[in-house]
Amino acid sequence: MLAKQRENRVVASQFRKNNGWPQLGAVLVCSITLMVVDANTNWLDSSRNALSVALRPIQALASVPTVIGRYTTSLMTSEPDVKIAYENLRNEYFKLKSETLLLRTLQDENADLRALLDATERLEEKVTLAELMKVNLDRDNHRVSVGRGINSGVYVGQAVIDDQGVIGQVTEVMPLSSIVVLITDPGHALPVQIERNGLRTIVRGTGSLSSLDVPYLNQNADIQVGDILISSGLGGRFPNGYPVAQVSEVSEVGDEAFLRVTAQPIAKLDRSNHVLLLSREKRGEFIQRRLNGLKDNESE
Amino acid sequence: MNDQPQSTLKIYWAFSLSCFFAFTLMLVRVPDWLSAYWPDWIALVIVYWALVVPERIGPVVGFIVGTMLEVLFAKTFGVISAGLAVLAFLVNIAHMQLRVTSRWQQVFLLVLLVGVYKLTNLWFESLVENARLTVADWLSLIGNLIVWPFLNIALDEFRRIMRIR
Repeated sequence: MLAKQRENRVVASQFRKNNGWPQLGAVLVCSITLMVVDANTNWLDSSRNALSVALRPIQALASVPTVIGRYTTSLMTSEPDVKIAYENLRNEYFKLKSETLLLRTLQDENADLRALLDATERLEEKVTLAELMKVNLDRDNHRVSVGRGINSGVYVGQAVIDDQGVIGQVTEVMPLSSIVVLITDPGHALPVQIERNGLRTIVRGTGSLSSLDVPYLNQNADIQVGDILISSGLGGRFPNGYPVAQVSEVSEVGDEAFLRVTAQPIAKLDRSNHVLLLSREKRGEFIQRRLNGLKDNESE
Repeated sequence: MNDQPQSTLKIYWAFSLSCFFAFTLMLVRVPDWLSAYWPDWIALVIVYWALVVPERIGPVVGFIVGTMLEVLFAKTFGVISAGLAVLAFLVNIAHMQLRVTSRWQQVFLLVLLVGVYKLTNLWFESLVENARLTVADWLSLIGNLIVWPFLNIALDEFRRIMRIR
C-alpha cells in the first residue's frame, strides 16, 4: 500500500515536472499583464481594496507587538515622570498661547495688506486632531493609520502635520479611520521650496525614516547644508509654508547632471502619537466661524 | 505511519497557516538596523512547501500568495507574484536533487534560489516603479541563511503535528 502510494507520488511529481513549464509560462503572462495594467491604469484599484479588507486581520495581528510595547511603556512610566511631562506641557501651552495672540494680529494685518495689493486671499486651514492607531513601516511602505475617518470629515489628499512639520497625506479613508502615507515613503514626493531663497523643487521619500531625497537640482542650484525646505503649496495638496525637511548633505558627483541632496524630515515621524489633519476653507468662512465662536463664548 | 491518502485540503490548510505567520513576520516592525537583514519569510515558507510537496505547491500557488503580498505592501500587481512563481518553479524542478544534498549544501542552494527570486522581483519592480538595485537589498539573504535551519526544523515539526508526509 505504502509503496504503491509512494510510487504514485513519484509519478505525480514526474507528471508535474513535465507540466511545470506551461504552468510557469501562464503565470508569468498573467503577472506581466497585471503589472502593465496596474502600472498604467487604475482599473484594478477596486479589487485591490476588496482584497485589502479581506487581509485586514493579518495587518491587525502584525501590529500587536507595537501595541503591547506601547502599553508596557505607559504602565512603567512613574508618577514623577508624568508630573514633569505635565509641567513641561503646561509651560509649552502658555508660551504657545501668547504667541497665538501675536499671530492673530499679524494675520489680520496680512489680510489687510493682501487686500491693499489686490492679492487673492490666503486659504485658511481647519485643524482636526487625530490619534495614531497603527504604524506599518517597512523599507518600501511607510504608512500609519489614524483614528479619524469619514465621520470626522476626513478626505483623500488631506495634508497631515505634527507640531514640527509635515508628516504626510491621507490616501485612504474608512468610516472610523484613515491611512496616511508618510513623506518618507519611497513612492511619495511633495513640492517644496527653500525657505532662504524661494527656490522650488521636490522632496522624495527614500524608505528610510531619517532621510529624504531632493532630486533634479542643477549643479549650480543655490542650496546649502542647513537650508530649511518648506511646502510650496504647488499641486494643491499641501498648504504652503509648513516646514518639511532640513538639508543635511549636498554633494556634487563628477559628471552627473544633478546634485545629490539629502534632507532630514523635520516632523517627528516615528515619535508623535498625535497628528493634525489640515482641511481647507476660505478665509471668509474662517472669520465667520471665529465670530460664531466668540458669540458662543459670550453667551456662555 | 498513516495509511490514509494524502489530503490535499490538509496540505493547503497547513500551507495557508504558515503563510499567515510569514505575512505577520514580514509586517512586524523591526528596528532600523535589523530591517535590512530581516529574512524574506514568505519566500522561505514557499521554498519549504515547494520542496516537501512539489506536486501541490507550484508556480500557481506562488502567484496567488504573491498577489496577496502585493496587496499588503501596496506594490504594483504582478511584481512579487512573478518572482514567487519563478521561485516555486525552480524549487519544484530541483526538488529531487535538493532533498538528497547535505543540510549545509541545501541551505546555500536554497538561499541562492531565494536570491534568484529577489533578482526577478527587483527586476520587475524596476520596470514599473522607480526602484534601484542596491547592496542593502541583498543583506536579507544573510538573514535567510541564518533563519532557514530553524524555520526548517519548526516547519518539519509543524508538518509532523499536522501528519503530512
